[in-house]
Amino acid sequence: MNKTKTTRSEVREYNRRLILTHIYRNKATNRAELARTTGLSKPTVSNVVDALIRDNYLLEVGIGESTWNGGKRPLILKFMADAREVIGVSLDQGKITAVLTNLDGDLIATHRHDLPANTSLYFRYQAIIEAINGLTAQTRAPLLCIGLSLPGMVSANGTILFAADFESEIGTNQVTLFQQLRDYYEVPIYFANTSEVTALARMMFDPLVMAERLVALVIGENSVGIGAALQGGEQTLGSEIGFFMGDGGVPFEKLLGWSHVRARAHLLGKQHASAALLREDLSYIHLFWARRDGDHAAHVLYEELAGHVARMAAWAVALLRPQHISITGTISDLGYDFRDDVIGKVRALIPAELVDETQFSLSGTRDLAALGAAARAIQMEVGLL
Amino acid sequence: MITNDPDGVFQQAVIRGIDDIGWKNKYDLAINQTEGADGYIVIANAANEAFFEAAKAAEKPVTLVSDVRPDFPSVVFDNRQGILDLVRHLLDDCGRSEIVFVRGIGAQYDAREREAAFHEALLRNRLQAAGMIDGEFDAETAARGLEAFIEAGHRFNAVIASDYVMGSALIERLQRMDRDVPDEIAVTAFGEGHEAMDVGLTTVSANVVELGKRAMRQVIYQVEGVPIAGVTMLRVRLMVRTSSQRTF
Repeated sequence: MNKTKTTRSEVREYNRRLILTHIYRNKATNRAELARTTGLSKPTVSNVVDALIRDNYLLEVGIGESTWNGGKRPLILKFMADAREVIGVSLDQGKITAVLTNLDGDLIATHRHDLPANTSLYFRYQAIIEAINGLTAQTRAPLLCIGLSLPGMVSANGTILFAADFESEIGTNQVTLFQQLRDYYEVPIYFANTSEVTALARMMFDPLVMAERLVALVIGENSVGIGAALQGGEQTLGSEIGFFMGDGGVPFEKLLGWSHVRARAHLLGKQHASAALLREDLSYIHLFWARRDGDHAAHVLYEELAGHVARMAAWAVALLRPQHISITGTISDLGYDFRDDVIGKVRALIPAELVDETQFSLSGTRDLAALGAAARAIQMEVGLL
Repeated sequence: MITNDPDGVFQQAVIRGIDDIGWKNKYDLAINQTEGADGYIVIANAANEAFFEAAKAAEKPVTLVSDVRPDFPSVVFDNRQGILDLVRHLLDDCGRSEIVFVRGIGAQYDAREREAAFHEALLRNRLQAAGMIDGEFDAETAARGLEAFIEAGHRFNAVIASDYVMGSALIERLQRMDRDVPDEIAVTAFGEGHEAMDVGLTTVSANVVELGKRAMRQVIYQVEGVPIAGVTMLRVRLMVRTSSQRTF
């Protein structure tokens, strides 16, 4: 039987993270408190704290009150969120979005790179490097790590196993390019599925979301995914589910992908003589208003969409029992009536008491996946957020 | 740096940012010198096609400010977020829904983006524009346009100007016309500068000096051989002042 031996450097790294996390979460503000709350010895705490101060992660900001027995007044330690910066990148079919944040996840800059249609996977990876460079140019502190969110099914080493619009290229160039990323930037690179980090971003960055278990239904232009952040974000999982069969044996990506929704709107518009659904510049906002105006075709489409989303939500509730489900993407422009309609349809699919324990929200924020990728990288690298 | 108005308020602020980063990195700034530079920063639509073709052929680094082209990286403000924030402020905080939009120069990226965002905000809130006025990013043109609009008898209770220079001029013109700002007409604008602060103009604060700094950092990286593509966007922040909400 193989026995894994913990090395001294692993112990040092564990202690470093433990102390950083305790200061970050305000569990301790000085060395004596750290020794008490972490259970580490005072010399170990002192050594680690001194190293963290040298690396600019911590700063001594003043002298605190002495203890009840009149002991020496402690030096107060403060976590320095600006000590390092992190880049989060999301790769979508048509674009790359990258964000530069500090260790609190505060946004410093955003970078967008639209890709021409049918850009090959190889050139998408080159474009990722050019987009990341756009942000490394703007860093003020050392770059700590890079988080990358990828569509489809993603393995732990960042290999895309399946993705909606470039399956023909899967397996070629990937690993080499990921190694290239690591070699180029000389910092750790973390990979995750887009839906997974979207769930993490919803949990971490929306002050209105108070949940330890959150599911994100990620409805993109051409992809559909489910992501989950569990145990307060310590555990995440997610995947593309666009190829799973929804109503009538039709894959979800063909029921909820925007090009298919548009085509369906056009068909319904013709059948019911709805000018609102036949417009060239149709968007979910138009659909929202058309339904409000009593347009029958818009109502039919709206009900169909709510039914598809409800089926996804029902799976998530039954499997993961989340406290919160967030419906993300431009479909959120359909508004709170849509959310309520989805909730009603979920109640028809699974026991209502399960649904009643879950809050539902909408989010149309554009940079969620990139922010989530940054959050994930911060979490992996220093155990924060 | 290539600009068609080196003395303009916006351009002067961009130059301050470029100079600051250039000085720290030992690069000199030359204005409107199209040959012999290590790299170029082009403001808005100041350069022609021949310039871009020549720069591309010579593999000279170029960074665009407030413009977007497929072959060159750029630095811009988040125009959409800014205009959506202004409309939300006027609707939710000030209760105004008859909004006039004062455009910039149609050929410029910023002006087009801000106008498109205004239309998106109208669609989201199911409103019609109370009016569209051509301001051409010029204080006097904007003020004259608004005066003519009022004299033609149009009704409105709020204005969004595509930049703060026009917005500041609008406040002065409205006051000269004995129109109460903000009780009768709330005035807001995109961008930030001392002109806006001096007249109490509500803005979405966009740090133009920072825009210049980021452009300089981007072009220096390119000069040093780092390939960059895409658009770096700077966030903006709503700054509520007396032109939209009376302080008590």
